Amino acid sequence: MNVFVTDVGYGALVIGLLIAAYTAVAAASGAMKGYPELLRSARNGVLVAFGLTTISSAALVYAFFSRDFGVKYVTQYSSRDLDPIFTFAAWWAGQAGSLLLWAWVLAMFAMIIVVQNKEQNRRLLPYATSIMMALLAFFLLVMIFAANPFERLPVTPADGEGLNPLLENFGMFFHPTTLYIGYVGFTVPFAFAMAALITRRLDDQWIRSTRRWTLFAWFFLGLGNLFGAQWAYVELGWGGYWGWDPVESASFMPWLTGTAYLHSVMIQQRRGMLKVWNMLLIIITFSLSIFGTLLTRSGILSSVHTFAQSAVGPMFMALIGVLLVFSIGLLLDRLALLKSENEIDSFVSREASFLLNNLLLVGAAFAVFWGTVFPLISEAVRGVKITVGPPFYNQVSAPIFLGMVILMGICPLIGWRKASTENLIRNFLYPLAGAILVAAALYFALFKEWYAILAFWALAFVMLTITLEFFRGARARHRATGQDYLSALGALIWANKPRYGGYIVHIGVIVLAIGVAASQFYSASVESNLQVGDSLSIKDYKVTFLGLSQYQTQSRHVISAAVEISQPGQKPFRMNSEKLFHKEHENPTTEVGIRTTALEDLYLILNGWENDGSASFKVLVNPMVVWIWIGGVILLVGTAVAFWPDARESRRFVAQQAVARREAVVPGV
Amino acid sequence: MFRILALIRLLAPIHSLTLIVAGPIRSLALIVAGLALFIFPTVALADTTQVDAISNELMCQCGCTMVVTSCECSTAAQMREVIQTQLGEGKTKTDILQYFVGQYGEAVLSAPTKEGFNLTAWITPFVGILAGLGLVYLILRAWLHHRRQVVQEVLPRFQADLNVYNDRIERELELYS
Repeated sequence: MNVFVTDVGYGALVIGLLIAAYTAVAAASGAMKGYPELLRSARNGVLVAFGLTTISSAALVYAFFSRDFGVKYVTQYSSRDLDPIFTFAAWWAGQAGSLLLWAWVLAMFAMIIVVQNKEQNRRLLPYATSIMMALLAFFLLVMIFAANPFERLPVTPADGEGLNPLLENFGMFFHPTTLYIGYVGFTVPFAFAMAALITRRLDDQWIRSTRRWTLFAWFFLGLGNLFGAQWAYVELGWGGYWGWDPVESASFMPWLTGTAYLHSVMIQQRRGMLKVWNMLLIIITFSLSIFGTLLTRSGILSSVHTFAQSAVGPMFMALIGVLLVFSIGLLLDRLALLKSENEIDSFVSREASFLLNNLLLVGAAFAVFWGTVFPLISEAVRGVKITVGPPFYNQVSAPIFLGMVILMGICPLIGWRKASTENLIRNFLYPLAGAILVAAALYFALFKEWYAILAFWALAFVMLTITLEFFRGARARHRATGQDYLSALGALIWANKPRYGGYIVHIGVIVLAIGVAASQFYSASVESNLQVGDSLSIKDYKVTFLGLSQYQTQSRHVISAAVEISQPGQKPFRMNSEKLFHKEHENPTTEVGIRTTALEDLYLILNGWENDGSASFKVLVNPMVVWIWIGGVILLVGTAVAFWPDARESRRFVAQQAVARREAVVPGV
Repeated sequence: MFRILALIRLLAPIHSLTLIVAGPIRSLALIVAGLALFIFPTVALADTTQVDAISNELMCQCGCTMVVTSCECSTAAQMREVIQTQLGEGKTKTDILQYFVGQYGEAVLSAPTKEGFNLTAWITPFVGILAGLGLVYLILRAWLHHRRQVVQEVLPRFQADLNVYNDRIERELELYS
């Protein structure tokens, strides 16, 4: 039975490859030659490809649940005592399974696109489908020839090697999946952009059709990064949430360029400008998504040897090469058709400020990319291996991010075409003055460091511009309709969801940035070896060591240290930090103790212990970390608002439909 | 008494004080702690932050891609101990970093040095952004220039059209009023 299931799974991969390749060709040639039969066939091909990847995925999940250790992948990433929830998540714990998840999500998105566009985008859809199916074929090819999740071992072991204990966390559910949804999601706008280039239909139809997909992909990529940060914070036990690990950088880069794209398409929709730039941005973003998958899943960074041993890395490099040559070549060929419909009127305008914002976002992505590849460059030029780690990224990106924050205050409110002095004063005078007051207050009450003052000044400025904008809108509505302020605010947001959703997202980013700035600038740490009854002090906390205890669970041996925390004027409370020793794994993992308040987190790490019963701790106080997660939630709310169907948009859609029907009646138009 | 307490608070870094003991014992403890801090300005905490500052500039060598401050493996612990010992011997930060470079090579530093070829690592991102800024400026200026030319070409014609319309409005106003 087991062998049969995995054979079916593998067979579905092979047939899936054939179907995907056929569909890619059928959709493109059907559109080129105008054969409706071929297009119908391609449509069905997409559905079948989704069905087949679903069968493969189900087979792999079944192999995990039936503990089929004859399958190498199952042996590597699970064991008999693995919790059912994590047995499911083991699907994407390794390279081959991750690729299968990627392929499955891609096939699912292709299916949704096909169903969604039954009545619209008839000219763009076949090419977009073709591109997505070609990509699916690539992923299936990689699995079949280089990373087969169904590969069987010559001898079936009695038990598996188990899942890496660090992965046994709910982060394992949310972090990889959201990240992959983000990566794969960018395929859709990319495919439509290429379809627009191929068909020479270069109005903003392709942008409008993919607005939600872009937002969706961008949001999930951001969420994936945040989940990763949260996971690192609670599970990895080093007191931080972002370590500028190359894999983290890999998922941050497409998010940055995706953010740039999300903003600059607004200029194209509104003013018919920046067409070439938008094409370039989506090409870069998508290529970085593939690059991210490559970095995460090929082992290129952890060790050069694993990269060379597996064919996965070179195949992905080849894919990125082909993608870039194809898309840039196509773009160059159609350059003449991408002439801007308008020109910029003034340096002091929304268009110019958006350009600047784009420049900084892409610049930040470039800085991260440069840091990621610089070790290779150094080795090639000087023959010396060096490291580019957190201090580099923090120092280089700080001024860029500061500029970005300031622009976040300016961009949405500066006038289109040419901002009048009146517009500038109206929107920026109060926020600027308010932010200076905030900075002054911080300087006298809390801290003196100029860089922190500057950062919080910028954050306050943006927050005030947005607040003022909300207030003015609500007040205008209140005066016009007599609604109270709160319902006026609600109605305001509801009346223009993309715009106000965007503002809410900005608030989320600012709140998140406040958390990042505070915890980066003012975290404190103490390391100390304590006898039972001894205490250490950090900020106004007194941490007293109460003693060690140990206990056994099914798969691990746990050493637990208890401490009592007291603060002047507060009731003392207890906290624990544990070291977990796992059966199959040599290195113990740490379960940290975290006590969160709105102002700061107290973070307790048990480092080790001696035979005399003493234990060594590292205790950190990380200010305002909780605001990073709260900012993430606000981001979610804002994106949902922007995503929500909009009355104006649906009216526009009906009008489009009417045009499309007229086009269909008059042949050759 | 209050004044002394306030003075001690000013003198002593608050985060390194134990301020939790109640009543008169608390005052006494504060005075003692304050004097201790006054006499021995470098307490254990100051050492730890110095260790942190140095270990932040070093990569852990266990293969974790984390800085020594963050990694909790035995290698990192050992490296922190070495830093602690060398600090105790009176070595400076530069000496200690140099020692590790001698041991593990330049890759042990968590960021490229700011000298020689490594400077390109630091400068290139900003050169890139500045170049982009220059490019954007040139493009915008060209656009603006072109626009002005177009306006100059079109404006007379536009003005002529406008005159025609104005005349017509005037005529019709006269006609109907």
